[in-house]
Amino acid sequence: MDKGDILKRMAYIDEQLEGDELKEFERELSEDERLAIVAEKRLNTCIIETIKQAAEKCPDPLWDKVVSDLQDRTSYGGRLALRLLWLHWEPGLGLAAAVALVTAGIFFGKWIWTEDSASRPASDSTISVSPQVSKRLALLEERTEHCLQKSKVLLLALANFDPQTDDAMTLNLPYQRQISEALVKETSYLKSELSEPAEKRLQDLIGDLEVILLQIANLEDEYDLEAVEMLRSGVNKRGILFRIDLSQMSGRMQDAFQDKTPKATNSSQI
Amino acid sequence: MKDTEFMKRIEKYRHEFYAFVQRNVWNQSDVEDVFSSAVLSAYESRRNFRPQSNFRAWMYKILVNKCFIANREKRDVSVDAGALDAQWLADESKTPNHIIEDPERLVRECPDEVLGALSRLRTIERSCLLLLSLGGYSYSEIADIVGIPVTSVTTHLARGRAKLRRWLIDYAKEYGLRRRAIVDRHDRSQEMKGGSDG
Repeated sequence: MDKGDILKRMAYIDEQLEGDELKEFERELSEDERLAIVAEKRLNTCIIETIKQAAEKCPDPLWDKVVSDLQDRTSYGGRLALRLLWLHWEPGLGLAAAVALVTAGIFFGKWIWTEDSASRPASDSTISVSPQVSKRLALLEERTEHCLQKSKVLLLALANFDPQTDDAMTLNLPYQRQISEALVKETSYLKSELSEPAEKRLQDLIGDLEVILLQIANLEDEYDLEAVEMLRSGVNKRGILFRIDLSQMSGRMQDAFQDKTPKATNSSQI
Repeated sequence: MKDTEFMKRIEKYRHEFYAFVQRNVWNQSDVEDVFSSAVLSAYESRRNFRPQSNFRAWMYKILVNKCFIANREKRDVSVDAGALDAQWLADESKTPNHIIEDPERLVRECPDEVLGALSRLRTIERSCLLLLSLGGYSYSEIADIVGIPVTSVTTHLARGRAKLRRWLIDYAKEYGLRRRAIVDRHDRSQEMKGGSDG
């Protein structure tokens, strides 16, 4: 039996053959083959029935929650919040809101940082770590920064793409997919390495980023504008670009802070 | 599509969609999140839905994509019938009646094992099987939903089925179900012999 026969046999079992093809297949079946197919069909039917019987109904509390989420989005308040978040409102007002948010974020972050560093005991800044650990941390930081930067460029292209006016070709999705695949590997590594409680926010960001990158890597059609639109909405909804910016900003502030602190001579300090 | 129209349609199929996600997502704690997220995504992109197309199939596309992401698996679109090893498939496709005399009994006695075996398949194999069994779709419809060629659908179905069958047969061997079937057959033949003797 060759591959074609096997696949045709399977199509027969699944009742996918029609018309002449079906008649021809049935005509060519020997009695033994017919019995064998009946036996296989019985097993398949049993498996399918088991799957169907085990199918659970959508629990009412879950459905109520989904409906409530949908209603939030359709209500005026929900729409307003979403528009503010996605900057789909008046472009000028949206931009102003974004600038105000970023400024407030920087100001608040700076304030927390100063408070934190002022109240930190002097001994904290002189915890010594071995050069190997320090080297590993530096490498991890560098890889994280590199991954975030590359992802940012990739997502910016997506966020800036307007399906109404831009040609899908300009996105160059096959290339984006290739880059995303490489970045997914990197995010998996980073997720396993960033295990400190203090890195929780970064872990969450990398986790969300991984989901988006996987979505891009899974795009099968370079003209699938519907999927691109869903991706754009996912990026906006999770505020990925904003969080990357915050993370990078926080990294630069940390560097600036470290530059100002006296450095140890024998071992690296954190 | 209007909001009310969307709600009506999603409400109609909610149990079916939930069952699909429940069987397709590896980590059961993710099921509710994946389901909710798929419904919300569909709502957000409802304007992209073409009125003349099939809502159920359109929603399945979103669900399949979400399941791939939740399972952290990449959709393999390159596999086709050519990638299938003919000998392997021929061996795996051998009729089970020489091994399992009573498939109904085997499946009836170990339904959890059937579902366990299903969960061990690759997402693409499971998606094709679920779309066929729960959704009742044809090969070409499955191909359209999953976004792969029809030949790939048949390949994934063949592989998925072969794996399921092999695991079930292994289970039957391990727990004596096969032996029991053979013993039953032996008993019956003895009875018949006795009957003819008497």
